[in-house]
Order: sequence, then structure tokens, then C-alpha cells
Amino acid sequence: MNIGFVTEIYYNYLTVKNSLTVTRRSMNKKISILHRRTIFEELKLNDLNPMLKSADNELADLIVLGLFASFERQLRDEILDKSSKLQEIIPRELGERLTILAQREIERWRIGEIIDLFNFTVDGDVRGKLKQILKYRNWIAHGRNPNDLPSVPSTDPKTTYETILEFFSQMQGDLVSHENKRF
Amino acid sequence: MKEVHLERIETFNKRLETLYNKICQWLDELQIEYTRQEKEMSLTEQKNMTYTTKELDIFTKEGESLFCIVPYGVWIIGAEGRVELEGDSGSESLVYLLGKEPSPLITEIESEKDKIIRKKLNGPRQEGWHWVDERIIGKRPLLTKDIFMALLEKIN
Repeated sequence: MNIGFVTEIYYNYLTVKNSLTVTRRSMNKKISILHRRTIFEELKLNDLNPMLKSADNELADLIVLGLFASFERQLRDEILDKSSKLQEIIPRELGERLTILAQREIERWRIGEIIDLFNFTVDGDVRGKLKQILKYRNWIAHGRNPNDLPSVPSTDPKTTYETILEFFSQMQGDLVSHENKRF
Repeated sequence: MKEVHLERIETFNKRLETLYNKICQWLDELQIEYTRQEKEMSLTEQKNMTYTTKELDIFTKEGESLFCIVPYGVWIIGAEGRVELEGDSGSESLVYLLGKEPSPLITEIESEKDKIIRKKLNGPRQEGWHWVDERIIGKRPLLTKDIFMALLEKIN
């Protein structure tokens, strides 16, 4: 399992968020040479805060979306990888067909159900949090409709990233101990 | 709105009031001259859940904004509420956490070193407002006077 992709998204978020802080500081200190040929060149200071606050909120939501999408991809890839065992079924032709069918269908499985597949190793608190994040992510992915707010609590990039890390840690901890038992 | 939701909002508003008073007490201890303003604001969360809460604005004696604390929401994944501490250059999130021990990040077989780091050095989590330090994973330090003053520098 490669959690590097998820971590990269989180650190990219920190980079952009801190860049917003630097931009605010440069505007407040009126270092206008830094703003040449950017949208900040003509911007009035009074308009800066609402604009950057909005960008900050938008960025956080997009990062939650990106983190969850990457998590989902990693999880499906892990299961796809394990499904290659089907190829060992005899007769071989049946095994190959089962593999192709399973690999196609795994892409259609509901992510909530995939999360629950790991209820033997990942505790309910972590799985529950991830499902709440999933609902919030769905609200973002469907256009963040202000007239149809999500029926779940909101979240932020750090909570999302930490919950994903926790899921992977619990999942891999158990997988590692199962691997060790084989020897 | 359901009774249970109203109770949660009331609790959130009480915790906010305690936070605002605590912060003003810290400013007093540091002999900072300031003026305090509280403004009512309306928040909408989830479906059909609109409620009234208060934002805190602190100004220098010259009337320049020092910082403000803006409620973000009661229903937050993994916390009992969140506010934003906002300054001229940015904002930092504070969340209210209960005293329950957080579930561990790693549940692999624990070495003695793991146990020391997790249980002895971290200690039990204290109920109260905690800073969401985005750079350090797995930590949300309790808001203290020292952390608050460092955050003021960070957001200004």
C-alpha cells in the first residue's frame, strides 16, 4: 500500500495554504513589487481578506476531496492486487475469467462497503469517521450546494489526512501480523 | 430543531464564552490594552440547523484589529466544535475536544518505546480548546497562554 500519494496531497495543501499567508503579509506590508502582473496588483486591501478567506475554504474542501479520492484509489488497488489470487483457480481459463470479472466489478463496489470489509482490523470509530468524511466529500463533489447542506458534520484536511493514516496503519498492522503468522 | 441539537448549541455557546473570557484574562495578565467587542452572528450547519452564536473582536487601544474569533461550527468530525482565530495574515483553527483518550494512530504491536512515547510523554488528553496544528500529525495541543500568543504572531 502506498500512502505516499495521500501524504503528497496533504503537504501540497500546506504549501499552498502557507503561500496564502505570505501573500496576505506582502499585501499588508504593501510590498507592491511582489504583486506585479498578478491579480493582487490592483486589489484593494479591504477586498483582500474576504477573497483569501474564500480561497482558503475552497482549497480546504478541494483537498478533502483529493485526499479521499487518493485513499479510495489506494484501497481499490490493494483489493485488485489481492484479487490476482483468483488466477490460481483450476481450470486456469476459469481463473482468468474470474479475475477479469472481479477486477472490473471491484471498480463498481461502494467505497463504504469496502471500508467495512476491514472491520476485522480497523476499529469502528475510524471506519465511522471515514464514512462521515465520505458524505461530506460527496457534498463537495456535487457542487457544494448551499441550499442542500450535508447531513453530516464538516471536516478539514488535517482530520481527513489523519483518519486515512489511521485506517492504513490499523489495516496494515493486521496484514503484517497475518503475513508473519505464515512463517 | 431537536432538543438534543439545541442542547449541543447551548453547550457550544457556553464553551465559547469561557474561551473568550480566558483569552481576555491572558491579555490582562500581559498588560495589553485592548477593547473587546462581541457580535451576534448566525450560523447554518447541516439541513435546517440555523442558530445564533457570538464572534469576538479584539482591537488595540488605537482601534486597530488585533484578532477575532469566529465560530465555524458545532458539528465537526472528531470534535465538539470549531472556531477560527483570524488575524491580518491568516487564520488558525481551534477545536473543542473532550477528555477521552484519542485512539492510537498505530495499532501494530507496541514496543516499550511506543508505550513510553504514547502514554507517558503525551499523557491523557485534557478537555478544552485545542489548536489544530496542521504541520504536526496526530497532535492537537491544548490552547495555553503561550500557544495563544504564538498564534497571534502567526496570524498577524
